[in-house]
Amino acid sequence: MIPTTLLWLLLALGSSFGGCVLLALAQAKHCSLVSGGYLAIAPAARLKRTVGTALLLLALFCCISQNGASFGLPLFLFLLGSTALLTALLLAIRPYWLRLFV
Amino acid sequence: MSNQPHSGFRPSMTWLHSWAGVIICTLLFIVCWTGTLLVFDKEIDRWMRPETRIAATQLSYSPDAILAQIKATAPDRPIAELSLGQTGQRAPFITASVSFTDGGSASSNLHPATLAQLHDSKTQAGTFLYMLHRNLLLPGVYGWWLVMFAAVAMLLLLITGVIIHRKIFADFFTFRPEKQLRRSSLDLHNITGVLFLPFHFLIAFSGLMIFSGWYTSIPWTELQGETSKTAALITTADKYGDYARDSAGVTARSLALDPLVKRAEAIWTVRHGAPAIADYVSAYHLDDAGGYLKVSRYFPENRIALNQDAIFFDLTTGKILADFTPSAVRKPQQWLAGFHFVQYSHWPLRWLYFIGGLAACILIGSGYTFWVASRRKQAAITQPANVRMIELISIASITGLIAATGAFLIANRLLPNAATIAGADRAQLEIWAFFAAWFIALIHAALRPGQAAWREQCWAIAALACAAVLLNWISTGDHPGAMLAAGIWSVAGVDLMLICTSAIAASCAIRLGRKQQQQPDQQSGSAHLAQLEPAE
Repeated sequence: MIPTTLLWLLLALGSSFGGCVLLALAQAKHCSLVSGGYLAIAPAARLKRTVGTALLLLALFCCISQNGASFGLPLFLFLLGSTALLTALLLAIRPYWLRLFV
Repeated sequence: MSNQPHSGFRPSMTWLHSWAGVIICTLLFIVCWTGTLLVFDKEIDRWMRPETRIAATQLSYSPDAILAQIKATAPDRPIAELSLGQTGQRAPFITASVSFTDGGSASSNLHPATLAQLHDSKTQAGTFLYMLHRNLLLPGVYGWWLVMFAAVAMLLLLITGVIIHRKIFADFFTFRPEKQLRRSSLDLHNITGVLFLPFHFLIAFSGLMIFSGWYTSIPWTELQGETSKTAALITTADKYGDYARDSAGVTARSLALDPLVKRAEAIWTVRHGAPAIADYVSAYHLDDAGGYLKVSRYFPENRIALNQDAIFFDLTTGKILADFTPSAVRKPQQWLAGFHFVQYSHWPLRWLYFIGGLAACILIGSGYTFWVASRRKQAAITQPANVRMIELISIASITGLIAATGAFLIANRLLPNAATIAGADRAQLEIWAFFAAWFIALIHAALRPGQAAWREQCWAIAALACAAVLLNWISTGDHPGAMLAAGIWSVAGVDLMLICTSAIAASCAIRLGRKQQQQPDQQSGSAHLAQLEPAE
């Protein structure tokens, strides 16, 4: 049985990572990288930005609802930094792993 | 890049960021690296003190039982002070120290269930890293001021960094490791700086604000003197909830400690609306009419802000002498101090602190690498000594310091507890090993060309980290698997992080070697050296 706190944390982690990936892929240069140069522009960039932002807000909600503002806000900010760094590293080293999101 | 400030706001900020960074980088790296390790201070402590590797089965104890134990071993020695502490699951043993009125003193760690004295490892362990982080082991207040200066410089570097970064949002996720060193190190510098900006800003600012009492007290004491009531109020520890009184010199039987501790915990539980457990219990002038007990609770498990709860009891009557509750004005400072000390039990946040700390180290290291790579070609013609000097300082500061930490851990596992050399015990010898390794790294960086020195020191880190795990296994039998099976995650975690460090350092060394073979002149960087471009 997975504890509820862990589930919320995993949801926050997943939505923060998903949000960062979508925001990155809303940029043409990253989209081109992930598609192996096939796409010169980012398709549905506005939709990706909107969904990406919504996912980040969901991550913020998960962090605060389970941890309160005192822990939740720093948790969200540092989680965002870490998942954004993971996104940047994946784009640099294994961009094709993110093709699913294009 | 010119050595003179450029005209215009952004070029001036670029100049300031570049030169302030180069000057302060070594100091900042020391503070950031040790601070990153200190996120897991208690875990490192338990790794370096094998006797404390006990399962966290019991987290409550009886101060009276410990007092009885001390009185049984020293029946005729009046106790001037008895301090006991237990700070939760991360350090489940009890720290006890006693000083007698005849001047003698003793301190030890006790098993929480049996109250048996744990074997006393001679090591400073995490305390050494803490002292290095806090005041660089310098005497007097100079080290404190230097570290505070580093915190101010970090804030300055963060602000100027944001100003000079032209494409924060466009380059938010951009890292191009395949590009030449100058470009890739700048990318790394930018992403670690931008993505962890809130963490870096908060950690530097909170580090600075822990000592806010210093900044506020100095002008008052200088302007008004110690006799001023205002100055006295500010300079004394009244605002921290301290209370003290001298021994009365009249024998009086002290009350039992356990009920008083329970009473303090009950008061806090009602006041805060959540179960409260005391961190520290200190009894003063036992069996004296002036005897008193301090029960305090600083590090909460479930929130960031420090508590600063402290209740003082008269040990002969049980009357409350002082019940400190911090004023509302102190609450922001308590939050900042709690944020910096990271003593709460929130493992995901603790790991994110660790990642943020590593990001700060990478930020500093990549800044150094970019500075050197940007100037190498021009320096070959104009000022080769200056750039070479910065390069060797950067190598010794970064890989040298990491290797020195490895040597510190190895010395702990290699030297017997009773080891003494030239009057120095093992605790001091470990520190000597740290500084000796660091000095060797500096000499090595001076003797070897830049990239070769980086690569070889990476190999040294890989070997040292691996050796530390093996030596821990050989000397204690506690390999990571055994520790995981026993539920002692702290020791297994340190071992696993050492294995990760070894793997990452070896991977860096292999990549550096490959790059050196493929592009011998890669480090020569761009010919465009007149401008430091934070983002192209």
